Amino acid sequence: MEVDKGKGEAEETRKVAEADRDTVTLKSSDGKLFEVSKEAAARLSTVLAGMIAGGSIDDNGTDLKQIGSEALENVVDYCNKHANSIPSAALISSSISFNTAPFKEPEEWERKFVDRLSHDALFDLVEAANFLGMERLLDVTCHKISEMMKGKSPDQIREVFNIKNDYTKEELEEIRQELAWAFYDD
Amino acid sequence: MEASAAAEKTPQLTGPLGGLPWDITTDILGRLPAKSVFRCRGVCKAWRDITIDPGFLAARSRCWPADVVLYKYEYRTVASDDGGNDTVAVDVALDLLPVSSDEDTRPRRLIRYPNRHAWFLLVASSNGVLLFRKEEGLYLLCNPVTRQWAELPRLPPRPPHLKHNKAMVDSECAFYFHSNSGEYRLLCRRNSSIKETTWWILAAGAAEPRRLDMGAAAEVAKVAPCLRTAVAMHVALDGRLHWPPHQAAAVAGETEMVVFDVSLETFHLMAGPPTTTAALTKVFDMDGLLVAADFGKEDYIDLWFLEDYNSRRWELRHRVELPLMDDAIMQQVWTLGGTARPTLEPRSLLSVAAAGDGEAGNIMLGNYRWLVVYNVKTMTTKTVDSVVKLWGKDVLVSRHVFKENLEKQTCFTTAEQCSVDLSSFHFQ
Repeated sequence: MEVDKGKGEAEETRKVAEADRDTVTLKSSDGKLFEVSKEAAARLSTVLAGMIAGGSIDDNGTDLKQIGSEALENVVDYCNKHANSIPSAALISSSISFNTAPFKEPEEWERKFVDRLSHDALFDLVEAANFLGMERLLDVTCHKISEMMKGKSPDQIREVFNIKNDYTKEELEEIRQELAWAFYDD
Repeated sequence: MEASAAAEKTPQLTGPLGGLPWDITTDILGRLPAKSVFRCRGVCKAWRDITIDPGFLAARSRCWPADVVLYKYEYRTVASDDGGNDTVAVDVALDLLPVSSDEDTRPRRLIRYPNRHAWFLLVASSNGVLLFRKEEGLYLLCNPVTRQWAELPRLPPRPPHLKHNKAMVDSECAFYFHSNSGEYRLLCRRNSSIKETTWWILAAGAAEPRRLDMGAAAEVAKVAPCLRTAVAMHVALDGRLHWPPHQAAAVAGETEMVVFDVSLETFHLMAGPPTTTAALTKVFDMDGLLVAADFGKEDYIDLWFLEDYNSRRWELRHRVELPLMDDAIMQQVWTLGGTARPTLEPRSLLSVAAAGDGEAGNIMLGNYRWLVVYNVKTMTTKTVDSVVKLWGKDVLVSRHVFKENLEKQTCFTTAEQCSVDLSSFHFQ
């Protein structure tokens, strides 16, 4: 980006370029740099919006120490995809209700976006979305995790999410008795 | 030391989900359908604690989308007396259709029960509980999601000389959830004699019915047309029940509404939207605002919003154009002797839905011949074809709205513990 020019002139150009730049650079905990659309970042993340508005964006890469490179890559990928998705009438209407409708169904591309992730990547992305205040991405990822639980038995859920069974046999039997109908498949 | 003692008491979640903040885990579990929420209680202690927490259940109920209840008759072919076959409607099924439906959203089954004479009749739906009447005076409450039941106390027997007078039958006026006491209540009206009307509260869990002493306020209700018919469904909002407007006596185009205050337990009147077709108006709530849908116009439905409750300022915010019907459906309607629009008489509002889903900004309006979802944000209308295409197949759009409620109600029991035989109810 930097062009070799006279010192004063370069400084001036840099400032102008910075203000005009339509991307911001983010740095993961392991030092990798990612570029993301400024508009999308500000629109989708309350934390990044605050940083952009407050001028605390570092041109050489804003440190996001809590987020690993894989999760940050997914965050950036999501933002860029969101910026590129055609804002049809349907999309505009749904973006209005992003923050107010907790059960808003994900768009087709969002579904595909989270479907390809491994379990670990999905959970890291939830944490990153939470940290960055990305309401919509949090919605989409939480939706995906709940989809993974639907229709599964307690045993299957424990296996999929690697959860330890801390019930005694008697305790579990008591719950099973009380909710017998819920534990059977139709 | 204290911290470690607390850690022992609070169950800890293991695995990748254990690393997530508590509110996110709660968010994820809150998105699950009822059955899955119950199954989560069998996964581990941490999830049990989340999913039995009244705060969690209340928050889930608030966010859970509302459904319009559909009636469907289920037919079976049986051998008739003359040796042939008869098709008989053996069962009534209640299906649910989300208020925020798309064109092709399919209804989902909630409950099915036999279609027999003097059997169970769905009277009302409130806060996730259905009210059934079995015979005069026997009311049963059913939470189809937790599959629990409760019986209401019975009114004292009617005087013998009125027993066979059909016009003097007791009537249900309002079924509502009283949040302060956590009770489901039914407000009943009894004509004790030609001149005397008495009002009663039947509360689930109470041993006896309770007679109300309303004094002069009862006069308001005595003359109100909306309280004489089951068609007029009330809307509960901020501790008050609101019935659809009726023509005010004084000026044409001026309307008034009957309101019942659930804590004071008295009636009063308030100004309704200015319309000349009040008898064809239904009310519902949208994001805490009272809305009146006026079905009395030729080509559109007017949506009046009560902008400011205290000043009773009504505003005509939306005019929903009715969609043109599909040719094939029109053909079907004509062949069966119908008209393009259902005849608009107050009685036909019995099977017309008017319901709002505030979160998404959607309003469902219509019946089995034309059912639309209007979005107040985009001001667009979608036709829900899945129901309309079943025209003539014995699907009726009911006036009831159902909203799942997973909270455990203290006076509710399982069907087996209930004194009435409920074995013929099938949950889905």
